[in-house]
Order: sequence, then C-alpha cells, then structure tokens
Amino acid sequence: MEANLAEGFDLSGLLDEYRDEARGQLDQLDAALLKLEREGTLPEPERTALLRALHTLKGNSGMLGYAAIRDFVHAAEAVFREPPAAWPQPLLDRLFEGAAALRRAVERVGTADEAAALERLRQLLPLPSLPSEVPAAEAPAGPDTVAGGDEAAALGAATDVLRVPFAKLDALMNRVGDVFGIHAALDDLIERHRAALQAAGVWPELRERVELLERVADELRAAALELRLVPIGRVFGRFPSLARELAREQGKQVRVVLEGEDTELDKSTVDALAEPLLHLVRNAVDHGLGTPDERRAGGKPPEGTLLLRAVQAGDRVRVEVEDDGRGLDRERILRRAREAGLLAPGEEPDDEEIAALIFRPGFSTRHEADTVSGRGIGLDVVASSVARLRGGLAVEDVPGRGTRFVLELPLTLAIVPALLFEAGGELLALPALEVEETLRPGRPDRVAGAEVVRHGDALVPLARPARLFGWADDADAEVSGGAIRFAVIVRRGSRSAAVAADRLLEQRDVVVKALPAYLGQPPGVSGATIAPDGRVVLVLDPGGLIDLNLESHRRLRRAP
Amino acid sequence: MPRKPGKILIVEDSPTMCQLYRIVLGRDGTELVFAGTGVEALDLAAQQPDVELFIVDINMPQMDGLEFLRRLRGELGVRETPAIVISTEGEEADRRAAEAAGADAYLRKPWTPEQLLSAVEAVAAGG
Repeated sequence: MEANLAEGFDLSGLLDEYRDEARGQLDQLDAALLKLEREGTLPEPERTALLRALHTLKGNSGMLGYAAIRDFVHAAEAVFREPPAAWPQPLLDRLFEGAAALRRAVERVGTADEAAALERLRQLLPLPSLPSEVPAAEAPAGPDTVAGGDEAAALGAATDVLRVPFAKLDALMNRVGDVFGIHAALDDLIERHRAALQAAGVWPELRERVELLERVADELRAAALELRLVPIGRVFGRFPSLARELAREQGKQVRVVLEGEDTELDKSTVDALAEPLLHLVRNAVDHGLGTPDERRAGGKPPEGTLLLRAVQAGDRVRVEVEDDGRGLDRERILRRAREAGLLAPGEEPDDEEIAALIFRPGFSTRHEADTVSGRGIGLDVVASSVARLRGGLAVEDVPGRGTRFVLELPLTLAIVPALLFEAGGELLALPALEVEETLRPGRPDRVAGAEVVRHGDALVPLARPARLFGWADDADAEVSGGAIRFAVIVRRGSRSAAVAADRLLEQRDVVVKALPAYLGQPPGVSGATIAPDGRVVLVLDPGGLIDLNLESHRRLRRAP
Repeated sequence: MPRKPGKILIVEDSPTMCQLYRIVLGRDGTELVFAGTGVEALDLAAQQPDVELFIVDINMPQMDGLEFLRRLRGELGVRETPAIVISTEGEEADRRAAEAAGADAYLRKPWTPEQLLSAVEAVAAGG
C-alpha cells in the first residue's frame, strides 16, 4: 500500500472498513450512472447524495494512500459538480468503465492484485473532455452527409415530440387520483341523499353526470398513464456491457441477449426495476454462468448466454434473467442455509423449498469471499424491495441446464384498482386484479386443524386478517371457527388464500401510498390509501398475505 | 509537557475515518466519542461537558462541520474547549472560515498520524 500512514499503527480491520464503506459509495455511483443514462440527467437529490458519497470516498482513499482511486473519484466528482447540459456518450462510457475499475480496485486493495487494478484506473484518466458550451442552434454539423442528414432528421422528428420533465407527469397523476377521489365522494354523497334528490326531481340527471364523471376520469387516467410509458429497453440499456465487463473480470465469457426491449412500462415501474435487475444480472454472472472450463466439463460452449426478457402479462410485467449455467447447487444452498441457522435441525426441505431458501434474510452475508463482483447483497434484499412494490421474485432452474429468475411487477405503481372491504373492524383493500373471486362460504371447514374454504374443487386456506395481523385474540370466537360472511380469493402463482371479510364495500381506483418509514415494512401490507370519508385503508399485498397465512397454518398444523 | 486530552468528541460520518481516528488517537487510553451528524454532536456535547477536544470534519450531511462549530460556540456556549477542523479542500478561504466559526486549528486531509497528533497536542496545550 502506498501509505501516508506511518509504521507502528495496527491497521488490521481498517481495510475491511474502507472496502465496506466504498462498496456502498460505489453502489451509489452505479445507480446514479444508470439513472443518468436512462434519463439524460441526474436530478437532485441523487446528485447531491452522489457528490457527498464521492467526496467521502475520495478523502478515505487519499488517507489510505490510494492516489489512483482518489484521482479518478476526484475527476468523476468534478464532472458531477458541474454537469454538462447534454452528457457526451464517450464521457458516459468512460464513467461506466471507471465505475467498474473502481470496484475492481477497491476489492483488490491489500492483495497481490492491487497494483494492476490501480494502474488500470490511472489509464482511464483524463476523462474525455466536455464540449465547450455552444448553443444547440450553432452546433457544427457532422463532416459527412450522413451525420448531417441524421441531424436534420432528428430536428424534424423533434417537432413531433415534446420533452416533458417527469415531475410534471407525476403532478398530473396526482391530479388524476384527486379526480377519482372527488368522484367517489360525490357518488357516496348522492347515494346517501338519494331519496331527497329523487323527491327534488334531480336524481336522474345527477346520477348521469356522476357516472359521466367516472367515465371521463377513467379516460383521463388512461391518457395520463399512456404519457408515462417508457420502453423497458431503457432499463436493459447498460446491462449487456456491465455483464460482459463483470464476466471478463471473473474469467468468464458471456453473450447477452435481450428480448422484449420494446415492451412499454410506466416510468415508475422502469425506475423500480433498475436496481433489482442489476443485482440479478450480477448474481447470474457470479453464480449462474460458470467458467469456460466448468462449462466445457458440462458439455456446454465456453461462452455463456445471459437472457434478459420482458413480457407484459395482463396488468403486470414479467422480466426474466436467465442463464445457461449449471442451475442451482442445492447441496451448497442447503449447507449455507444450515450454517446460517435458517433450518431447524433435522428439517429436510424439498427441492422447491431449497430453491426458495436463497431469498431468506440471512442467507448471504456481506463479506462473502466468493462474491467477486464486490456485492455482498443478498437476494433477500432484492426480494423484499420487489415485494414492497407489490411485485414478486421467483427462481426456476433445470439442474445442469440453467437458472431463471422471474421478476414481476405491476405495470404501474401509481394507481391500483382495489376492492375495499371491512374485516376485524378495520378498513382493508386488495388489488382488484389479484382477486380471483369472492364467495359466501358460511362456516369454514377444518382440515388438519387449519380452516379452509371450498373454491370449486380446491380447498383454499382461510386468512382471517384480525388473527394474522394480531388485532384480536386467538381465543376470540370471531377470530377462529366463526362463520364468515365473505371470502375474497387471492392468488399469487400456485398459492392462494381466502381472505375473510365482514363487509364488502366497493371497487375503486386508489392511489397507494407507502407506509411511513417508522412503521417498518409489515408483511402482507403494501401501503395505505384514504377512503372518501377520510379513514385510512390498509392496502394488502396478496403475496405477502398468502405467505403470512401459510406460515400461520403451518404453525397450527405443527402444534400438538 | 503537553497533556494528552482525556476525552475527544469526533464529528465524522465515515466509518473508515472513524476507524483511523481510533487507530491513531485511541492508543493511550484517551476516550473517543463519535457523532455521525452535527445534530448528534450537539446533543453529545451538551450531555458530556467533560469533552476536552473536538475534532470536526467539515463535510457532514445536513449540518456541516462549521455550522456545528458555530452552534457549539454560540448556542451551547462551549467556548473554551479547543476544536480542530478537518477539511479536504485546504484553500485559504476555508481556513479563515474555520477560524471564524471558532476553530483553534485546521488540518487538511490526507493527514499523517504525526500531523494529527501534533495538532492535538498543540491545541490541548492551549497553543
């Protein structure tokens, strides 16, 4: 280490601290670069946060004597301090290269590979210069006619297209939500005073106008949502080269195939996808692909294939990250799960359950020695952030042939059609598109100690919100065993639940707001919204609710 | 013989830097107290009047180091306890701003342990 620090000091632990902190700072740089590339600019507060992270990393690197790291970070910081109006591609490319090289260097400090990694960083400076600020109208045309033609075409096309800051679209969306709220309140009001309005002879006209308002609100919402659509290719954008870079570092080869890049999604979903996808791509390169030797031994071509596929399915989008490596190593997963204390002694999970272990908190640790990409982040973090977005994350594999992660998100996170109901004295809502059916089951049956409801040929586990969320005692007759008036069947994949409801209220579009941070992330709840009468409605997450319910039923079955 | 301070309050949000301070300053039984934000630091300073030295990083989130120092000297009225301000920039203007805020010494990063220890001894002795 080129040290500024003198001898005689115990530096053990210092490098670990530095590396740990740097990983977080470089994560911020990665996220910022991806956002910058997607949107053409890095907005506040990300920019200020990034500057702070870079500044600290610069200082720390200088303190430890890593001038090469310090210098590159300083150059990057300088660019973000005074960003250009339009970022030239060569600069962007160099920053991406630099981010990868920084990560490599940070992982290698204190090891034998330190010098090479630092040298690589030095070669990346100076950064490509910014063009001198010239007003767009006077920008010189390209030397060849093709470039000139492109420019003219671009200018021509520009008149058909408007650049609108996303903030304005967000504001529009909020107003649309407000219109729905007003309609709901109006609807409620006229219904309550129906008799009086009929007597006054104004009922038919009022009723018609309120219905018209709803139709127009629907159209308004559809139009507003259309404005926000963005092709998913924007999120895929940088992943191919990132994956190739990462693979190269690990001595692996990969070719990246994209499918469905034109699939259009709401901007909120595209933004939400970026980080989980990044982790999945990293994970695929780290653990999925395999080195050329390993692959040859398995009868595969040395070059691995990483497939990123986006498909719209109804009101959700499914993004798959698929590799053609060796699939999930169940023995290794089982071993690690036992080491991490995730399994009871003697517990023997089946194949599917073993696969699901990788999403459990505590499965991977931050200091994994074999995470060469420098990321100790667990799939549990990815899974929980996806769940918070009312999405799902699952894994499928064919041992020896490959692994596929399936990430699912709603098409838009902004407005959700929801079924409002009352249960256990609380106002609740379920996303309407995930409700299969509502039944009037009467008294639930019991199978092996757990309550179930008949739905066609199937027996669906009953979920009583009061018991699941702890609002009422288990001993309370209302909470277990009592007849239920309605059961709302929800399904996520192959699992389902029958949610007990005392009253079904209505179906309406709601704007789901995240719960305030101090409430944490209760499982089974995705957020809250406000009913027309001002009461708070808890919006449930079907996936989380199903899992919560299954866990509760498992516990009941195990009890003697 | 300059006396080594018994308790130092360090206002610094980087875990790496905190570890460095521990390594360099924590050897001879000096008690180190860390605050990750200016607000936390003001709280601690108010609760622990036996702090003998403040080491303040200028670059802190929300309330920067100089703002903390101004409030320490002003609102909290802690005027006698010496404070060293740590910065990465090192321009003259920065140094003067630090002094105006109530710093007794100004140190630029990257500092060597010798430089830090000298600065600590110098201000602790009232220099």
